[in-house]
Amino acid sequence: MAAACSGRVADDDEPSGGGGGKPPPGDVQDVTDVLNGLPPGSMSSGAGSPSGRPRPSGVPVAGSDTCRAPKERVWQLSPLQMANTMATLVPGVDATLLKERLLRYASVGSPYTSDPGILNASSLFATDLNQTVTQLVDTLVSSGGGEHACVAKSPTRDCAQTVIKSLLPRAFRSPPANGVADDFLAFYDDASGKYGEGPAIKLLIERILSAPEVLFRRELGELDKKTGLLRLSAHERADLIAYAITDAPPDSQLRAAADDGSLLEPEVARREVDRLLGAAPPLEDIVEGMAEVRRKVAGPMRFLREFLSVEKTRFVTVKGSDERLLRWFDNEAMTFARHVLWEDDATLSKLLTADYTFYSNTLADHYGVARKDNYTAPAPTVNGRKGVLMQSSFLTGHDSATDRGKFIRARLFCQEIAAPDNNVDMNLEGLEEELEGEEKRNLSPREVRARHLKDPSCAACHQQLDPLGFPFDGFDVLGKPRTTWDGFPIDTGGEILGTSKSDGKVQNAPELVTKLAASSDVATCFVVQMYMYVHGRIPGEEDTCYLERLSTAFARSGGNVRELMAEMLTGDEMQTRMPDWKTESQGAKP
Amino acid sequence: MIKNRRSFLRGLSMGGAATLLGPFVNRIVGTAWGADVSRPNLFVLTAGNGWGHQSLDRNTPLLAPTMRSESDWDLPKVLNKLSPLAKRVSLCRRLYNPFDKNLHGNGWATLSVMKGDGRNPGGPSLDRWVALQTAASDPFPSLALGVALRDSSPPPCTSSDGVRKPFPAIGRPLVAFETVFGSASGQADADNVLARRKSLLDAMVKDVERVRAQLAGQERAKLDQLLESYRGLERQLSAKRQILAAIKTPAPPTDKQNSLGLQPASLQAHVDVAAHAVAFGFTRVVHLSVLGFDAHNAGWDALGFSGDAHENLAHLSGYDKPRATAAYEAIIDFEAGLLARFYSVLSGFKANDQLLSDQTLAVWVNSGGGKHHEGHAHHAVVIVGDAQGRVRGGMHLERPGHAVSEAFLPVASAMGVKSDTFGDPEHCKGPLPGLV
Repeated sequence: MAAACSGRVADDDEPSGGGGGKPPPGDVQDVTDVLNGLPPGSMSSGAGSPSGRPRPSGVPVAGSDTCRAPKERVWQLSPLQMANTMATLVPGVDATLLKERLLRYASVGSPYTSDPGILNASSLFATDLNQTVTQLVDTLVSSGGGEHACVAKSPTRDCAQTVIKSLLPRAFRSPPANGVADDFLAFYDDASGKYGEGPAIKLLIERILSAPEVLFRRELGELDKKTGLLRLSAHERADLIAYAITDAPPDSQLRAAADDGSLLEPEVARREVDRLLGAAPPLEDIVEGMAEVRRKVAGPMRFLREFLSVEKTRFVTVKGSDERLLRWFDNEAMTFARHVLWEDDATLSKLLTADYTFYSNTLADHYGVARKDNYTAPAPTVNGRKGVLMQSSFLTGHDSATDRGKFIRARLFCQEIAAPDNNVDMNLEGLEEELEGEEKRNLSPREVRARHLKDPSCAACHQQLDPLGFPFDGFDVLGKPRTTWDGFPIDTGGEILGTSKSDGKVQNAPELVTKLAASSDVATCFVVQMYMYVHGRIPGEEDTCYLERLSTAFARSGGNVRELMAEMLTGDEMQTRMPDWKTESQGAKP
Repeated sequence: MIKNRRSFLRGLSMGGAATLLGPFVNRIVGTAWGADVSRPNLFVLTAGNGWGHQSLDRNTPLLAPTMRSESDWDLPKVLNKLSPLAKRVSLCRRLYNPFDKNLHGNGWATLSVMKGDGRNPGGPSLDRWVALQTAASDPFPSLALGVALRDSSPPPCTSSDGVRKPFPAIGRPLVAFETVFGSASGQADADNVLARRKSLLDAMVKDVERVRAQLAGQERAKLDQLLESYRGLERQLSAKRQILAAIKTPAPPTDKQNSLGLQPASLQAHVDVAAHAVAFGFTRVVHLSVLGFDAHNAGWDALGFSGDAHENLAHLSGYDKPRATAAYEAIIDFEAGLLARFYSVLSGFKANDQLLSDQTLAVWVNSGGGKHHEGHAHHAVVIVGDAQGRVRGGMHLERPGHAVSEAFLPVASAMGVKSDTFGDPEHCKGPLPGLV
């Protein structure tokens, strides 16, 4: 494994930007191009020389500006992760309420629920968390105490010691720091004296479940004096792997590998990642309506769900849609993604171009194919559809050429289109009538939009968006095929513009998605998108080398999505973090 | 009816006509936990469709009053429900909001008037800015309430604490009620419960500080927010205990008032919870978001206008203009009713010999400043002002070229914020002329 980008030791006066050499050859896009397309602030986030920061003498500067280990070291768990964590720690207690209450703090306006920018511990969140934990512990005790029967029957000091010994390390997902267990026992003693043993044991468990070690994923690391970097501990690696793949704390096997330190060995880490990534989620977990359970998606499935904005479909209110139909659009996308990832070749290319899908009776009626009453078997697509972008979930969630083009521009090319200037007249009322008056004839929707594109104030943005969406005009807002629109023949010709290697005209949607699937620009952007999901941060300049290497690895794997996630979780770069020498505990170490 | 001590222990019920226990309770509670009861309250109402949206204020007379001068005008018919407040209502029109011009709404910039990154807020919203600057030590610095579309995610709402820091709203009125008043009906063992919670919170704060000490800079800030939240919980507990000991807890919203979706009964229940939270001193700042984000497609089945509001209502010229206008009249009328309801509840309370309704400011703005229909340049803002002369009421101000933030600024100042600008300073040169 090439690790030229991180763990590299640079002299203080070495020019920045060296990057540890060129990445291995491969048909990959220049990652800097991709980073340049990200939202404002991403290039500077975490970037900058650390030389201005006080640090102990004799400790080398780790990496250069474009190839440095990231500095982020704590992440608040997402509401889903938090709920799953609680449910794991207090097994047997119905955590439905907990999930209902915490999940309303899930992401708003951000593509990925792991985005730390939108995770915040507002006072309302703290209130909800606190009340929920209280209820959880009340239920635990009143239902017999689960695996700690003593908390219900005999909540003595011995019981408190048992709880601290067994629950604390599991809750913290690592051995507690020196003195912490004693502090918790002293807390129990104090509470017991004031309120009695029963209330004291409840307070003890509540305190454990509310500790920041539980609510945050930490990557404090241990200082490697040779490199000047912090290396993640085995338990921190276990956390990274488990939450990225399962949205839950490490299972017993992963925990054991962390406890005995074997997870620090690359092959063990890879084995564990492969194990967790290897099993396809049960269909019942991802298809609403198959079982009376809420949809459970994690890891690559949740990434794809958020990457593709599948959730957006559920909020559509277009004519002809209803809740059931929209639910099946959602189910189709998820079932398809699952199949590609675990029962096909797991490639991005297949996601974008596969010529099969899954038809429930509702979907069969919608797509106009014969009902087969066998949802779980893939069936050939109709109407020339290929891949997930030609499914109704995407086409309904993105119901105009502009919206469809915007998705491709942002998610597949990692290019954000800036909002129009204030002086741009965005009022489209009467535009069509006005144009038709000028032309003295009826205009097709495409002609109206073509005129729109000629207006300089509109064209700057829409030329980047609409031609990417026009090929999908062959499908209406519910994803149904159409050959005419307002009585005019559909023109599905479009064009990819403004990319580094993918520009060119296309005749229709199948041609477009085929071109997207073959695009190295898209592949590189996909790596960046998954990076944001897995690591909970927008990449900055310092990630350039790492992303280049990942892009190369992704290309070598043939665009294997699961392999990319595995690489992201086991690559040497992500086992190191940049120290901040203002840190009180780390500052004293070297 | 304004309540006095004799009604102190009488039962409460939620609703605009409820018999309330305001004056005494508010006074003793406010004094007990150190709050300044003379400070005004703020009610922010945002909506995703209705007036101002789809160029209505530009192309139709719905919001145009009969006007003799800026200070002598009659409320337009659609605002009739604000008649009891007419002398204090200022109608500011033709304002612009330059940011986050989503296709159909200003999104996060509705209340922040700051440029975001397209997906996240670019600054604090008016309600949170006021709350954080002036009410940080209140049991709830502010409450954000919204329309629950489902339980697994927060309702659309534009409250935010700053850059990339959304402040989630509470969707269901019952959850709002329980958050404020708690689910326990009795106060038995209250002291003991409080003491236990206090012990736990002290320990939780200690735990956060333990981890925080291992971090620096921005990483430490992530723990700071949790720390502040826990300290806020301590304040809430302390104040709650004192307030709840002095009042009889209001009746919670019924099932009918607690349903998902855009339901008038749920919105009215939210107003009742919010008004009582203000009346009893739990909070001074409330934001109710009626899908106030970019919700142009919200159908108002309950008002008789179902389906896709964008198609059916928005495109006035291309669709059914009379029907669309009737729909907007109904929507505006209903939302004005929410505002009136809030004031009606507060008019039953007194503090410092002043009716709480007289000490309360309101801002009603539509988030539907969508660029698609050029609404971003034709915003109207309704301000229920005065608050003992702090904001001028009874004005009709057409101010093209002025940003909505200039209308927000005097309200924030009246609430105690010391600042000569709000939002992006490039677009806020001071208070909207005529409003102070």
